Amino acid sequence: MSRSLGVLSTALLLSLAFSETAAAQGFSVNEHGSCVMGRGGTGVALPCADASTILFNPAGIAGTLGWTVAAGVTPIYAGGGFTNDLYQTTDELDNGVVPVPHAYVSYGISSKLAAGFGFFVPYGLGTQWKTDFDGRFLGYDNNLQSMYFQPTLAYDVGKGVKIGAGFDFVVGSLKLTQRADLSEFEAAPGITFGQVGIPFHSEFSDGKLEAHNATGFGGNFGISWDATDWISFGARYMTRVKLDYTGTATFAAVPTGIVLPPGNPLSILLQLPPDQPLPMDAVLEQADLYSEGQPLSDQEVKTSITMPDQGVVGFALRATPKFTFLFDLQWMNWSVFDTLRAEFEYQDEDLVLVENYRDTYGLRFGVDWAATEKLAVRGGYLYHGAAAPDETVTALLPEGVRNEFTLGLGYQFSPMFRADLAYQHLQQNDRRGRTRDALPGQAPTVELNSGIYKFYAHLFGATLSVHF
Amino acid sequence: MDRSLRLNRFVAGALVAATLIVSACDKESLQPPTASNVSFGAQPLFTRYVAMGNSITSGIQSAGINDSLQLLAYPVLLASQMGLEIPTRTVSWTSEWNVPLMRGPGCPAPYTDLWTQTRLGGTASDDCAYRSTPIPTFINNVAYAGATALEQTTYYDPAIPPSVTDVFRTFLLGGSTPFEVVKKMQATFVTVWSGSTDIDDALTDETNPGDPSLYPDVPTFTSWYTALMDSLNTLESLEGGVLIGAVNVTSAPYVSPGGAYFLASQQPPLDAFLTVLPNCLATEPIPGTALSAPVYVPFHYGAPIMGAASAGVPTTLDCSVDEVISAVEARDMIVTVAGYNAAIEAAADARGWPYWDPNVLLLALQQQDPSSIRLFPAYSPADPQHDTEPFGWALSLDGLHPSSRAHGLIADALIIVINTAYSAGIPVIFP
Repeated sequence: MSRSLGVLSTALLLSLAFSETAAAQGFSVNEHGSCVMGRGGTGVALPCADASTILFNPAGIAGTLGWTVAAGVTPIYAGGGFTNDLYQTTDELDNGVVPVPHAYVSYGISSKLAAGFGFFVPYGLGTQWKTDFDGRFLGYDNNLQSMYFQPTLAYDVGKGVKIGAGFDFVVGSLKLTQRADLSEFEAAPGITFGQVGIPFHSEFSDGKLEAHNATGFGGNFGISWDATDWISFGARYMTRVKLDYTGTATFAAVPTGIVLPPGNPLSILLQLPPDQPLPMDAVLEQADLYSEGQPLSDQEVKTSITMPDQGVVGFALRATPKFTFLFDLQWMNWSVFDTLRAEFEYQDEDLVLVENYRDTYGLRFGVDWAATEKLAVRGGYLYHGAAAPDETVTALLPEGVRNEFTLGLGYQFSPMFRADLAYQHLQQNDRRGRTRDALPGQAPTVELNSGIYKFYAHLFGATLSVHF
Repeated sequence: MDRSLRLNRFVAGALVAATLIVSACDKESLQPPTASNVSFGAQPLFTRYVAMGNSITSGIQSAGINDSLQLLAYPVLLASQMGLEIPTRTVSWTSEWNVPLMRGPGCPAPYTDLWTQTRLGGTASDDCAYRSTPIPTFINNVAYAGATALEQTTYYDPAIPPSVTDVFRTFLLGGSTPFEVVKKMQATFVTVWSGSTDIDDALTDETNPGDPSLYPDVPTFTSWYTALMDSLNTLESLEGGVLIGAVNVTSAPYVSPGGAYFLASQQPPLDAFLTVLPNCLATEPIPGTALSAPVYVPFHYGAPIMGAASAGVPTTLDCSVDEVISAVEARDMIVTVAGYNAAIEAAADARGWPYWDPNVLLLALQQQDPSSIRLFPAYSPADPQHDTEPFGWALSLDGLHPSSRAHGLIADALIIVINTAYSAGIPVIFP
């Protein structure tokens, strides 16, 4: 029996691709500072006092004096599901609560020059489905982390203009799990098990891909301009970051339970006694798929994934001493994800996957109300476009147009201590998607879509900061 | 700061914010499509229609099967008329109603010439092009050649004898039985055509056709059919169905009355070379009717004799041999099929489903147009039906399975039955 890793590895890599983008777009709601989060993610033109401007606009730390140290976490609960067209039944997303940490330190070296260091995880979430979900063949338990470490310098050049730049050192890791579909494996050269009757989505192996310590470098640049005492402008640009993953793919047998009846064509094809029932699990065990060097043995996988560049422009309008309105427009260069290439240890040819992602724009609005000298009340609204085209909406990426609403509170306990809290509700438009892949080497099409993905998330942010 | 200036800025900020929110938060984005927006084209009753059945249901014609023939089978036509999106040869796996298509030229390929036994693409009877890819996500036509009533619910009963058609059990359904697929599909509606296959082997057996040991007696068939219906009764999703009776196989033109051969032997030029013994004219009364069952000569036995006589070789047809279905055997088969159909009709009545007897359609066709289902194959090359429809235009080149045109008639007959029973309003194919 001839076996090919092509189908399985294709599926794994599709998962890889979509998981990455899922984490970056599907969950990147800029929840890396509860002050900014509370005002709808706006921060490029007017920094918060928690040093999170190291991310949101590196120029913002210029002009501060002394030390500012802040740390926080944003627990994210994501929910949703997939409603199948045919059965009208819904499989629920099985995500737990995922905490996303952030930490910042800034120091005003002089009245003009400041330095800082930021740690944030803009790609730190995953998706988890039950193992009976039909989309498990695309991935059912996926986790990705891309940790950004950013030393930053900023300078006040005068006349209200500040500039800043950060160097991003990125460490990435990922875990992907999925079931392999026997019907897409080859039973003989050029003939798949599906072609002799094995039903679609007959699971026979559980694949897990893990990769840690992928590293990449990038930069984050910002500029701000306080045009008057009541209006400020800001812009930032974060470069793309290429992460080179070297990981391990491991596989474990999953019983199929399939027993082909006597007279089946597979027995004929494999020259086995045709008048006997044929247990597929015995056939697969005899095929010795999991031994060293075999297609489903532990093996190395290499791939590279590029985080897209992003740019943000915005302005802040201090309408009254107590009310500030903030507006940001964000662009993300998702079109860098047009194809992905990966290499499996026991496969002769690289895999080239077509993605066809498109750039997205996000629109953000925030309001900050200084209710008292110590208490700030915030609110905001975000709108994001969808990066994935209609043909690549999958269980790994239940992604689409989103509307998000935020509330926040900030309290200055003393000149030294402050705390910020925020809540964000993410509501994604329902979107048609799929639970099956195209054939290896073929681009997916919308004809594969077989249901509707729903997605929402509740985010709770808390940041404590100290200034001295 | 001037109070009015502050107010203006506040209003301006609020207005810009409102404008942005309204422009982004448009009606479409806040009222996304829901699952109901993508519901299938058919009425809810037929959304998950599944066809259970036999070789006819699966689409076999001219002793072969391929994607083209499968897409011309009556369940596909019926599903299409119901409003379901059906597959095509090029887009065969993402439709609302799916078929486990066999890649061309077939598995095996159908005859293109009965007399030379030539198959499509010049392939052999044991050649197989396997299933088309990609395979469908789900399957609505769960019929396969050789599917007896027993095999609707089990594969592994010792009562299931090995057959050359066994490959189709796996090719089309993998490790599942038809009922298991129906259950998995959460079928809302089924058509069940079972019974004909149970007796088909007795018709086509080359050594002793008509042998009663080759088909189940009525109580056995009834028990199998009851088991099938009991299984279907467990499906909460199932809202309706049609039970289809078995074809009276002795009226299929694959077998011809001995009298038809006798008449041919009386006509020139065969009268000089073909002798048909009087035992070929024997008949046996059918109990409870005014009819008699004749001797039946299967095509596979009669054709070589006719070929020899046509070639000028003196030949005798002796109907006392095992290769011919005796009048007694024919009577028993006819009575048995009637017993099958009584059981099927009773099952339909018990479930409150309509029953359709295909023999009514076949008889009507024969009476209205003898060229539709011939009593005697068009052996003579001079016969206008000899090359393309030797068993009649309603039959394919194997004399057992309907032609594509006949599949349309079957679909229409079922549509009328369904419309009557369920007030469905499904349009017929041939108005």
